[in-house]
Amino acid sequence: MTIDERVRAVLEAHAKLRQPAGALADTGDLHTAGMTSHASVNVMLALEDAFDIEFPDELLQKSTFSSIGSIRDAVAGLQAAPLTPAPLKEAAS
Amino acid sequence: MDERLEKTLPLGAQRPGAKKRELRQPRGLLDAPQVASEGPVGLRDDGVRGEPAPVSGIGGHLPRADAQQDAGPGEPDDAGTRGGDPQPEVVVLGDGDPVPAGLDEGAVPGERGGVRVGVVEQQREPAGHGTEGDRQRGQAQSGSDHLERREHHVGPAIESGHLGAEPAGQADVVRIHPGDDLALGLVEQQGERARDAEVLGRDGQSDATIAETADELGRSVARRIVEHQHLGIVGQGSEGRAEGGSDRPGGVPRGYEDAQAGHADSFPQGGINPVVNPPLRAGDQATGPIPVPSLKQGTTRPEGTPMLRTPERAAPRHAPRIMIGCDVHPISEIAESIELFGERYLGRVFTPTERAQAAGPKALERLAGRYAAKEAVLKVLRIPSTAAVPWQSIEVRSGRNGVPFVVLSGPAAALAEKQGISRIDISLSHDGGVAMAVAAAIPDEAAE
Repeated sequence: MTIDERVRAVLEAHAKLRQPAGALADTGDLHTAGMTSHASVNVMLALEDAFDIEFPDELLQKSTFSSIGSIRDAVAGLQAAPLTPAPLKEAAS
Repeated sequence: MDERLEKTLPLGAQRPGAKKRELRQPRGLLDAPQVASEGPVGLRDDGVRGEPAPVSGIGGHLPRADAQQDAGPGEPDDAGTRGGDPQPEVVVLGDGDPVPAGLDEGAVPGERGGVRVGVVEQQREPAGHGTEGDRQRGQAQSGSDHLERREHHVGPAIESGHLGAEPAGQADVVRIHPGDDLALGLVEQQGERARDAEVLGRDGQSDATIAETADELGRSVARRIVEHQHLGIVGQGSEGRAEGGSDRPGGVPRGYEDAQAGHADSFPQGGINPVVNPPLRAGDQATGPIPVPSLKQGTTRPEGTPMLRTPERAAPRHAPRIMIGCDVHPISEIAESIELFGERYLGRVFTPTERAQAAGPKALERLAGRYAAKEAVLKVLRIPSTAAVPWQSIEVRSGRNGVPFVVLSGPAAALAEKQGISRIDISLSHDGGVAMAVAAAIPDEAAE
């Protein structure tokens, strides 16, 4: 599955949209399509599970989850720049 | 209204030396804080100076109203001592402001008929009788042409009988008789919201004075006149206001004073508020006067009447702006998210303090209320869509007395500081499977 397809699958499961996520345009406004702010929390957590990523605080903005395209861009960016692992305690000591 | 009712004030036609005398009159004109303290807003400079046009004389009891409105600049002009027919207060609405709904409440055809009579009466006022201002206006408005113009102006307002959804033109004037505090409150409420309306004159201001005030403020006024009694709000202003006018201190608008004192007699006709209790129409049961409910006593409004504001209830225009936000949230969605994502969900959305204080048999309700509060606070902060505000930066705590309060940190605190918000009050509730919250704040700069 492509990123786009996986994003749409997550949206279909958690965004509570009024229409099928597969029918949404790439730039279609998800909030207008029915996704509430709380649903976007579930979408974010589901995306983290689906792509094994973690959304940092700086991406927790409404615009990040405003469209399929914006989500895809955010996911792609996080995949390209994975989180820096915390230093190992052994190494620190 | 289909047709624009444009009227001009003779703004450039004041007599030399008349300005200071005019402005000294205790009319509450510049005493109104919104006029004195706010910068020019609302009125457009339409280059209409010098065009003579009569604007006075349309009143409930027209002969007397005409006489008062034609009073020359600088003359004492207490309505109560001059026959008891107070002059209307005048409100100028800026371009595009909707004329407040409710001004047309209780429109009665009979009232409309009186307008035309008044026009005729004014035309018959002999030139040279009265003050210099009378003569100037008389010369400007003599002849049938004026009558036609006046009727042209008034007619559409009468015919329409409804102004609620009608946006103002470039600058509209609504005349409101002193004592009709509810109607004035409606206009001021509208002006406060639109920030584009001003009360230029009230309680006895002559048209020349209003024009001079506009001139003093560096404006011209092209205006449409909406005499609110034409719409049946106040048919007459004499009976209830004939007495006691001279015992008021200068500069105190009569109706405002009464309203501040909570007197029901702020309204004409022996305390009957014509807005709440419109004149009886044909076929109505004659049940006699209905006492005006005291707003201070919290009596309910008569069914079907609009919620109105009086000066005692209406905030002054310089009142601080209150920023509010609200949110509702299904409790079941909290349970669903916890079931799906468990600790990850709780840890991302709620702080340890919130989770600890919400623990107990009503944990879901409390968490739902806190989530709603976070959303309500976000609405208060008016955050842009590109601002990153983690949920944990808005923490909802419970005080010792159980009253919740908000603690901001990080990006949320920075946004609040930027907007001058140092405190946000919240209120939470839940019932029927839904939690709700309201948040409110007064920006510091506005509260000063």
